[in-house]
Amino acid sequence: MIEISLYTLLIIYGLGVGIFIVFAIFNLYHLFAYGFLSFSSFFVTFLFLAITILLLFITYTYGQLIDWSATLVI
Amino acid sequence: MYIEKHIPNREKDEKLVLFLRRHWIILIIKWLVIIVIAFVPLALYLFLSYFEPEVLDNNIYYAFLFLLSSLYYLFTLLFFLNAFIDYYLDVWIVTDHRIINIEQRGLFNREIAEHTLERIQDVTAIQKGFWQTLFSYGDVHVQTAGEIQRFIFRQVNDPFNVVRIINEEIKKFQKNEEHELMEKIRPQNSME
Repeated sequence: MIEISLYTLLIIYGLGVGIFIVFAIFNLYHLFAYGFLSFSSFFVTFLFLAITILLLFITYTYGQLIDWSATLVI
Repeated sequence: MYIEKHIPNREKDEKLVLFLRRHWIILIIKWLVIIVIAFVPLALYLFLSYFEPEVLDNNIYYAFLFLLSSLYYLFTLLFFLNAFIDYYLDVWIVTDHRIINIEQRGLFNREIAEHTLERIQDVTAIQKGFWQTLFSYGDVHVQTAGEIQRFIFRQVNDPFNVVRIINEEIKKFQKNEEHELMEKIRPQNSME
């Protein structure tokens, strides 16, 4: 029997968020390095960052309601 | 003009004639597909709520699905941004000296090709299908005498007008070249 804490899922989630941030930086770098700055590029960047922050905030808020100390028994 | 300053390898008296991107409807269609895909976790949640509520009552399954949904939405958002960048960074520039083809093929893969107007042999507009006719967009094929023999302006707005403008610029360019040649020959003739 193996007991895995739910905190493990949080670590995997953190890795996923890390990969997301890396690719987001790559994409934004390309936009600023090669794009002609305009209202549309600024607006889409703003929208992307705003929704990202909103998603992470919602995840944090509702994630607090979960009992992460529980264990998964395999 | 802001864009003129950013033309690659811009010559001193080079003027911008056309600055083209894909038609906006192409980006909107991609975004709509991504928005539909974003509803998948919501649909799964409603399905489980009605048909398998015990799954959501289980703390472990709920935590797993919750974090998976969060990651799913983050990466959907990333695809949303990527679709915009793919649209925004593909540009076709026509100046009074040359045409420039700038294409971003995914991350870290960018191609810039240019040809002077004198090397253009043929320009063709193609508008195929219901949606292209309805929204008036299509491809412009530019045949050149060079290593890259064909430029394709993909899904640009009003392709027939683009062809007309390019042909006009070619004629102007050729007239200028003839004029300069005549100016060079004339002093030699007057001396004789």
